[in-house]
Amino acid sequence: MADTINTPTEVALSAEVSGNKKRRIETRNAVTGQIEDGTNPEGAFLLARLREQLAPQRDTSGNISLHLSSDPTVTELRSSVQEMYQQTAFLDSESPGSENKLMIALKAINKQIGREDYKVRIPEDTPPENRREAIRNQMRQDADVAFREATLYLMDDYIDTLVDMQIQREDLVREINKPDASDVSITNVTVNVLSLRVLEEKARLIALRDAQRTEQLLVDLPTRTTDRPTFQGEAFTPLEDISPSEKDLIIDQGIVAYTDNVNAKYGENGVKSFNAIDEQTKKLMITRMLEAERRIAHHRELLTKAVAAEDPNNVYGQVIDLRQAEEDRLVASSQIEVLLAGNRRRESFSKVRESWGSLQDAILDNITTSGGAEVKQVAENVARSMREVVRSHVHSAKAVIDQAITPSIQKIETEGDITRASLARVIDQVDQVVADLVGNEVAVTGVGLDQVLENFRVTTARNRALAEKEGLQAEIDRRNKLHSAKIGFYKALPVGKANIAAAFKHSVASLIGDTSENEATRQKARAAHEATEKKLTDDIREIDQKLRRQLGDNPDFTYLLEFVEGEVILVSVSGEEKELRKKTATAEDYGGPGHKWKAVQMIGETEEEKKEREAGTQPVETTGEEELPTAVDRTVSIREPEEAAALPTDEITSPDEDAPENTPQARLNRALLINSTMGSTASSRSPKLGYDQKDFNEFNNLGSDFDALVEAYNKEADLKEKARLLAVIERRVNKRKGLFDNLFPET
Amino acid sequence: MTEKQQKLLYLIKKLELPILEEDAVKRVENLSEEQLNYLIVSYEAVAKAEDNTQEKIKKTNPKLYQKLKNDYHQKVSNINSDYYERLENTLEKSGHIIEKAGLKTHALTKELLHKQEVENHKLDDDHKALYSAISSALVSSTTTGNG
Repeated sequence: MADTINTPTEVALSAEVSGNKKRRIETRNAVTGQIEDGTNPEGAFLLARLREQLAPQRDTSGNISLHLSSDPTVTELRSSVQEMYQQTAFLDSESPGSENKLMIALKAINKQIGREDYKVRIPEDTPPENRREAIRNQMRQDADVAFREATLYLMDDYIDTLVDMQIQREDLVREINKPDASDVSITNVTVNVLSLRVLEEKARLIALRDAQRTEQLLVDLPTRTTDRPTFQGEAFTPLEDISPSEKDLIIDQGIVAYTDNVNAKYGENGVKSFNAIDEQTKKLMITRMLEAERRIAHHRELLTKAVAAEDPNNVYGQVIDLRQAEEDRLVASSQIEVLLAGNRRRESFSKVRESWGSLQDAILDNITTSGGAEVKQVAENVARSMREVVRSHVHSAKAVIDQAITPSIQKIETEGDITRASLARVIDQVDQVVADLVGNEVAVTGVGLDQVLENFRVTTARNRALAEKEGLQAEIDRRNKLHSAKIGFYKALPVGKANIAAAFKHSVASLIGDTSENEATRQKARAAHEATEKKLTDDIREIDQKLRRQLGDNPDFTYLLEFVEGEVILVSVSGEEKELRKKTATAEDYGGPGHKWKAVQMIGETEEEKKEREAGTQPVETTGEEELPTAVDRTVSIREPEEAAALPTDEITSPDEDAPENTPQARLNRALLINSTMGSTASSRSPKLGYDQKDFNEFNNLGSDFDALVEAYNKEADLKEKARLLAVIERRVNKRKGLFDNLFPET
Repeated sequence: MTEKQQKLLYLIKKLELPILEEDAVKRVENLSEEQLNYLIVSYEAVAKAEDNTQEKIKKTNPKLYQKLKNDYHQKVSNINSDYYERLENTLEKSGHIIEKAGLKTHALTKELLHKQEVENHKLDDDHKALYSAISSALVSSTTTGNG
């Protein structure tokens, strides 16, 4: 019999196990529901894949277009599910023996997914004549259930992980909502929230693995949607920052509430002691405590937000802030307790003096009226007794009391000064000394408490700073590793790796610049960028050479040049004016072999660029002495190649000048649109461009230089200068587009 | 935060640029409109190039792509798990120390209050003893004198 009796611990344990089991089942149902209703898109995606694997759709010819998985578990289940649905169909057509076959299929599925042996369940009051139909109906329903369970079985690991996550989430919320904030465990909360992230990683990998059990090539799993809000922590508003009237109201209410608490704890005497604290101190103490309580409420709210965001760093920060506020509150409230204790003791001394003092008064009255030798005798007795008491009974303040009352006692002894006044003086001295000692104790304890709080603050601040520093380093390392992993992934891809890596590194370098606090990261970024920059510089040089050849290729700009040239009027020395041309300019008109270019520094061009150009590696603009360069090959346009190819040749070479899209302004607008779309690119020769902040800024100012250039164009009255500016604009636009095309080709 | 700033932050995240979120936010908030435009265009171009590259290899060599992508996922998962483990160790260690300090604060606070109470009791006793001594001496003298 003894074996069957559970001890209380076993009962409790059993209840806990049973409770946990029930909770897990309920959570599992909720998680499964989210997968089935699509709230969890990742799970829904997985479920759909596995469903089609177990019950693949056939087309009208009975063929399955889906790639069927050869995973043994999937194959076995698919076979049983197919058999099950086949027999369900036979069941509908009253095929003989189909119930038995369906039963076998259902039992097989149940066995495969580890469920108890399948039995068909029908209501016991089913009439015999309806029994067979009831069994069939039930089996039809059970077939659907078996199919559902079979697909969920294939997702078991995934669902289990989500269940773990959900339970952990609930535990976390319970932990942070403990009534007493000092019971909220920093480690539990922090570790739990981090575990959630680890579980999330696990679930994602399981989902990926399970999805690939279908052996279909996945583009990727759907992005996991999470209702996690982003953590946003509002700053705390201290009492001193709110309006004085509101602050006073809060403090007054705080004093009333605290008085109630004191009354509940110590009764009327306690309230008397509390009221005995001077108003200024009382307000100061209550303000301190209220501030701590407000901080607790604030950080609790933020902690709840951080937990909802499942943000480990902010959870850690908030739980520590909460603990700090809790310690502040504890010490603030203890400070009031210290004052209350002091006041209670003073009250007690007063009572002693009241009750015993009246007795002493009566005796003294008696003695002083008798006079003579008796008085001297009494004086000696009192002095001796007090000395005796101080010597043998006074514990804590022997020296102080001794020192305070000895002169008065000596006076009594030597001079026989036993009067009401002399004795009262001794008693006053005694009262004063103990009152001072109580006050001293209050001060010492108060200072001690603040010191304890300060120690906690220092320990917390130091450890928090260390943890945050280590956490930051871990995060930096993680980012760098993720970055390397990504670069590694792209490098491993057999196409486009050079461009991708170069473009990516360039972007990284231009973003990080000198803003990273980590020297190693900065150096890495610098090295990566400089290597990239060299490649870019080479690329750009090549592009420029191409551009030089293609100068004027763009029909829009060529047209603008032509338009300008068409408007040119030459003025002779004698002042005679004649129209230069009315006809459309040709390549021969604007330049030819052996033409000498004179270098001028262009807007936005660096000295280095100028020198390079002077050396003959760059296209140039004219000063007015030379003729304008123009197209050598008009088949290339800034349009997309396909678009250009689709155009009739005459549209490219002979645009309809009257068409609205071909007006000079329309063409200029298109050129400007390219600029605004492309922005400034890394086209400078500066080796540090995009990395060094100064150069970075200059680089980004190229856009405004461009605007200045256009503005100059619009204002310029001199047509030749206008033509020159147009050439510069064209060069800029083509260079930018060319650079981008080269950097980020359509693969 | 403006739409453009948010867009740039999204791109930074998408591209997995090795920069801390808070640094990225700080940096993005200080960018001029022009710089924002430039970086958005640049990063969009990078992102597009990445997508295009993936698309191409996915079509031309799907099995290799799948393998590389799986390896990448695994690597990312391992990096993240290692990071969380490292962070957990750090924060747990720090949390323990702070919790211990909190317990110590509670204990010391209690101890100080108790000590004050004890000291007050002693003073109370002293006070009573002195009063008692005076009273006894007076009573005794009176009794003797009367006797």
